[in-house]
Amino acid sequence: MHIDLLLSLIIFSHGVDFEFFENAKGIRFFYEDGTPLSFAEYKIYSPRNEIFSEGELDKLGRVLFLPCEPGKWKIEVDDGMGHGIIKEFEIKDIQNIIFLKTSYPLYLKILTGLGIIFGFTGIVFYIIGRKYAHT
Amino acid sequence: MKKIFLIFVISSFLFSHDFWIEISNPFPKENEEIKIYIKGGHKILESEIAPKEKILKEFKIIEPDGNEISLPFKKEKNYIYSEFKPSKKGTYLVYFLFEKGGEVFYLGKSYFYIGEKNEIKNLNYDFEIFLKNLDFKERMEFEKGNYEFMNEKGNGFFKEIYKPFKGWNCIIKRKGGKVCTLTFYFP
Repeated sequence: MHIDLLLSLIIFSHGVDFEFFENAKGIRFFYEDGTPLSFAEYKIYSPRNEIFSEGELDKLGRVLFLPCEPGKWKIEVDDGMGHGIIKEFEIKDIQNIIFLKTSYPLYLKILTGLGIIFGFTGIVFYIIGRKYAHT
Repeated sequence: MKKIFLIFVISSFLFSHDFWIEISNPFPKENEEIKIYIKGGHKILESEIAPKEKILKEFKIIEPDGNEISLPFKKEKNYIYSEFKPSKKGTYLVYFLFEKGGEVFYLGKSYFYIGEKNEIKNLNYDFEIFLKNLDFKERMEFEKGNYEFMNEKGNGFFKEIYKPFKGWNCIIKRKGGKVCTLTFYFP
């Protein structure tokens, strides 16, 4: 019995080993209200546009990302319910990976949109006002 | 100021995609073929999204005698549908479940009946909209909570009293990141 167990252990571990590594970068995906995209599908494309990694985000909507060459990397995330995101990251130095988030939060997007609408309306009314002022 | 506030409220409402059941004829006769749809999007009459098959754990009918049938389905670009011929008198429960990471997080259900209504079934999920009977009235009472609704007149919120609109109605309950949608047809 004891020998059987020992034998199984040897067979299962044959040719497979593991090691820990550090300094991996993580990305977390979440909805606008902060809820994580738990178990959403993701695909990471290398600069040569080949799939480098794919799978599911963890329960908290996270994935580890450790690019092996410089260039433009892409990650696609799809929650299967119509929500998704495609992001590109420019990696310059794989020894010193720096992620910069360039997108703006929702409230800034809304304020920008409102600013454009009000600005455009103001210009239209200014032109109309000038026209009536002359007549 | 009120209008600006309204814009923000609508924006936050629109970011969630909901999924619900629609039935081609909610008052079928015996052996009449009906189509049962899983639709998704922001508003009714305009299905925008079909859920991915990977998350669809169950799409079933429970017949009046308790017999459960898994519905074979076809996927179109914006919805999923199945065809079914009800042959027994009584109340049918139609539902779908979405699952991720081994956990059910979305339940959509609807009921229809042939002839006499009989005792209705619930699935007993803690985030489910629990119905005691199928007596849809001018004022329907639900357990206290925060509910949303969609019908052909629009959408909004209510706490426990809902006034159904003639035709298609959808009630949405969100609890701890999980969602239940109940659709029914008010005659």
